[in-house]
Amino acid sequence: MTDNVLQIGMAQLAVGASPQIIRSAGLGSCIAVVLYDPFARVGGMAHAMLPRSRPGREGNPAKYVDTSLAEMIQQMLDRGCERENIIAKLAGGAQMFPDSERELLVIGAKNIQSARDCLKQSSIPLVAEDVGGNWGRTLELDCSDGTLYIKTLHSQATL
Amino acid sequence: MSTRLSFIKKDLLTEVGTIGTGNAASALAGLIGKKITINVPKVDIVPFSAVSRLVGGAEQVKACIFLDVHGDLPGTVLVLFDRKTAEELLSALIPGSRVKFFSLTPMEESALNEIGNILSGAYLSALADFTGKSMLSGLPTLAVDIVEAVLSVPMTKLGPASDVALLIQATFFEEQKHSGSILFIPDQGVDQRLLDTFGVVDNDR
Repeated sequence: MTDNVLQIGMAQLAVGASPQIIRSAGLGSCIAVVLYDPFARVGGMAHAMLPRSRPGREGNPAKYVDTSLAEMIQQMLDRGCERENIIAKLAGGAQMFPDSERELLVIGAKNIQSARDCLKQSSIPLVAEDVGGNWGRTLELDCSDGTLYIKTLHSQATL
Repeated sequence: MSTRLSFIKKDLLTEVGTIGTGNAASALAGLIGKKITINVPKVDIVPFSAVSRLVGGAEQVKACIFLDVHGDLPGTVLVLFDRKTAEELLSALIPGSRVKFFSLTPMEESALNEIGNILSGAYLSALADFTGKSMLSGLPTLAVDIVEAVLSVPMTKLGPASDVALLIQATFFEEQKHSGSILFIPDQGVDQRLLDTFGVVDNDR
């Protein structure tokens, strides 16, 4: 059973196929970029920390929104997905602490904007999102149908 | 940052954590009038994905007070209280209050921030005395949420230059019932600056 759940943490990404589940717990200011191909029934999730990589300093692709998206698309194409079938969902990008004066504390909003921009540039339709707020989220992507389950301390949602 | 800790570096950073936490614990003891004990700090370098495992496992909900550290040895301090401890601390400090952990009043939030501020201040002033360097904390800010989600904020600070974080984590107890912890997360390169301060040569590097 445990092989069925791909667990990812901060600055990690995973691509899985039906009936696998990709899970990421405790998403704060990071953003989860979720991709899904309903025909291949293959999905991906990246738990990205920062909006954009700097050229020449990419390192771990899952750390940044832009490079994690490119890496996931490539891995999904390698697993037989068609680029034009891929859709996207976004979750996360919270502002965990109320003080908005400090630049570090508003990184969530930048992650959201970067994810929307990068998806647009890649011509991947963004079909749903649950972003912002000031609470953490735990996510599960069901690769059999692309449903994204979102849990917070006080609520649950399904995208 | 190197992804492993040499013996000598770990030893020094454990000492640093002990000195800071000891002073923070006496500040807390003075505040609530009870005896506080501390454990030996855990010092580790971990990839971002493993940070939550080190801080008590994923999906734990705590009151987390975040403070920036400025000066010669910059970084982040996080003061964490579990639900029961936070509620009892607040009831002790604000007589007659019926604390609801998930909907704190502004007064309770500011009391927790102030406790974080006092503990962090005590921690950092002990380190500053020990090292002869300046260490000052910024304004405290509070979140009651999943610890891993909260940790994304200090990790973001390290993210552009590193794939790992150095954590110095100590826990303090009041009669084994109530516990809290203090995390010091030095910025990139600060661990080396600490070694240099003491003239420690790390042959294992």
